[in-house]
Amino acid sequence: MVDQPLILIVEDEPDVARYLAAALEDEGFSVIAAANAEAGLDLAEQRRPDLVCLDLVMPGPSGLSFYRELLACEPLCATPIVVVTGLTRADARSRLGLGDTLPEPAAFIEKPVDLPALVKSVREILAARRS
Amino acid sequence: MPAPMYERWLREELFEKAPLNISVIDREYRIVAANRNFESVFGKPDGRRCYEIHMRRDALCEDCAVAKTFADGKPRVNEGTGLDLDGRPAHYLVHIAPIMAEDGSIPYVIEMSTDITEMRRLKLEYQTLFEQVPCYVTVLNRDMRVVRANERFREKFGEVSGQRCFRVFKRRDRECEDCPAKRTFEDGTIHTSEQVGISRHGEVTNYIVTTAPASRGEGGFSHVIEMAIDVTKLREAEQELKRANALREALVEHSTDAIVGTGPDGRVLLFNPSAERLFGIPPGAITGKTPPTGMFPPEFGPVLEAGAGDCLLDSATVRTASGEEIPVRLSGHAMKKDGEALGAAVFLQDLRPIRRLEREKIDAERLAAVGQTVAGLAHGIKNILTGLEGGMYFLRTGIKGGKKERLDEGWGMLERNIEKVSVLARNLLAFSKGRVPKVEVMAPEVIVSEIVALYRDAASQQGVAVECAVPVPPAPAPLDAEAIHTCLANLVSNAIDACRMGQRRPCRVTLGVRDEGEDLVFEVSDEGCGMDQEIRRLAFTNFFTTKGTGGTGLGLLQTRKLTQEHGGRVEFTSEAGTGSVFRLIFPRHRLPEPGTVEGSGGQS
Repeated sequence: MVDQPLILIVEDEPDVARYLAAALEDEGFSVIAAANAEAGLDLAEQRRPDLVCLDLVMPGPSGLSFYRELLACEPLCATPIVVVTGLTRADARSRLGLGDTLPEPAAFIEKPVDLPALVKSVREILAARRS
Repeated sequence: MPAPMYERWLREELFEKAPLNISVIDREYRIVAANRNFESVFGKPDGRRCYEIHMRRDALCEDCAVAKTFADGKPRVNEGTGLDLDGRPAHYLVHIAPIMAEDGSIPYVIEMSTDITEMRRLKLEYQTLFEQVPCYVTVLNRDMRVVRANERFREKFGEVSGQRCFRVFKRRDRECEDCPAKRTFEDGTIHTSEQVGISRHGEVTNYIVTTAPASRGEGGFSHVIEMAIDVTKLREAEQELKRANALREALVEHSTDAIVGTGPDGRVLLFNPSAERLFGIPPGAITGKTPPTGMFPPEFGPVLEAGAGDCLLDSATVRTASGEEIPVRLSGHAMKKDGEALGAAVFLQDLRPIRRLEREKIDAERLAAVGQTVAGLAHGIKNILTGLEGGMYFLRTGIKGGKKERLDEGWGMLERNIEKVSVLARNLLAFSKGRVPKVEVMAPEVIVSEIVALYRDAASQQGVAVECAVPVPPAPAPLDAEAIHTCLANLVSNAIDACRMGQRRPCRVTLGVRDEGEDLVFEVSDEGCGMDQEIRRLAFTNFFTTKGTGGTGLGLLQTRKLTQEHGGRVEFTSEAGTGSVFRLIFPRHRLPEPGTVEGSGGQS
């Protein structure tokens, strides 16, 4: 469907990426995925997703680099970010500066993923953006 | 006494008995009569002239007083100098009076002289003493006014004759309460006190003042002599000494180090509060006594006996009164001068708090390492769990929707993630159990060559060049070859993975070893994907999780543990997109002795 919201998953673990993609597609979203931050930025620029599910700890440029680049990019800076990570929220803040040197993401989902909570967050964020 | 009798005495005796040299001189200046006193000093006149006798001259003296009295008939008093019988010059007070004839002529004069040589000498000496004595001397009257002041006083206080002493000395308007001059006027005795005055230049000056009556006698005295010695410099020096002593005392009393001073006989002269606390000895209990055996470490004994020299013991032991042995850092100095032992000063720093802090620091580091390991494990396990969750989701939705491809995919995800859990468990066990180390002196570059040979072919097939960089082989070192092998294998494996995940092709991994000063340094550098700023901070806890499906997760932690067991440390630099450099740095003096590795066989 043409008007399905497009979600970009940036995740270096292939199994996790595949799981999230399948689950979100099953919920009616269009999903594209990138295995690292650089590829994710390329995809975001080409496809202008409605929302990004972002892992933080990845080889090479991290999810934080992706977040920073996205914020600096005029047409993409308003894209909502849902962080999906194995770190705790406290660790992400104290050790990576998320919510401190970088703004709070639209949602923070800790792995292992509570799928209904993820889907609910995504729907609410997209609904808020539409209104 | 009847009048005629004393008149006869005056006539007949006075001439001979008066304590004067009396002579009668005629107009020819011949001495025509002289009393016995005169003759005893100048000899018999024998008709000689006065200038021949007194001055050994041939002619009349210029300005002769006798000649003047002959001329004008007036009596005269003057001082003169003459030569006695032995030719010694002497000073005389000379009275000259005319002896008049009935017709008013003056056929003779009478000359009465008194020897004042001694008096003059005394007067000169007094004058010199008064002016030159090294203190300020004034003569005060009962009105407390300065009647006379010596030169030294005038230099210090100016010309002050007639002024009141309290004004001069202290710039006061009324008498001082404790005025020693006043007390001397009251009781006629000598008084001494210390006074603070102000000089003509306004400087505060300290004096020791002594006052004494200017003369004694039945009729009392009218003046007081005041002698003041300037002790300002002395007082300043005393104050300085007091301050220096107070400072030294405060330093010694409040020093956190124990300070013990002993005399030449070895007895304790100084034992500060820190020393009392360290040794558990009550205040004052040891002063004057010989320190008990064991109070000082045995190494210090020879220094004390030699009686000269310094002794610095970074780690020594002293025994307290209760027999407890305490680790200390000792700095001692035994003093000797001209072959004579003067004593010793010993400074002792109680090392217990430092040792406790060191232990706490090591414990804290261990706890932090455990915490980091647990955090890293949790992060890794959460990713694996998410993979398992994904597998189950595929199975569940596959069964529910009858989609076989989902069942296959889900099954594969479960298998992969269960395998990851198994590998992680195995590595954790290996990590925690450790192994029996075997330290041998060896050439470090041998391990480097082995690792390069091990990885080179497989890596080149993935577009990664593994190269060896040992321009100058380092000196042999005692190493656990297997442990270093494991460390380097971990780092090279990580570096190859980083290259595979990066964009650069071909990508190079370089492994080298070299001596840097006193350190043996292994270095693994790559041109791979690197880490960005935030992830660098997580390197030793979470790095393994960035390796996707490839890594086992514990490589860096294991590398750090093995390196630390060799007394070394791991350092690294990394830039996202540029690559990383990992360095294992081993200070040679901390490398283990061949045979064992301390702390191995368990988790660090």
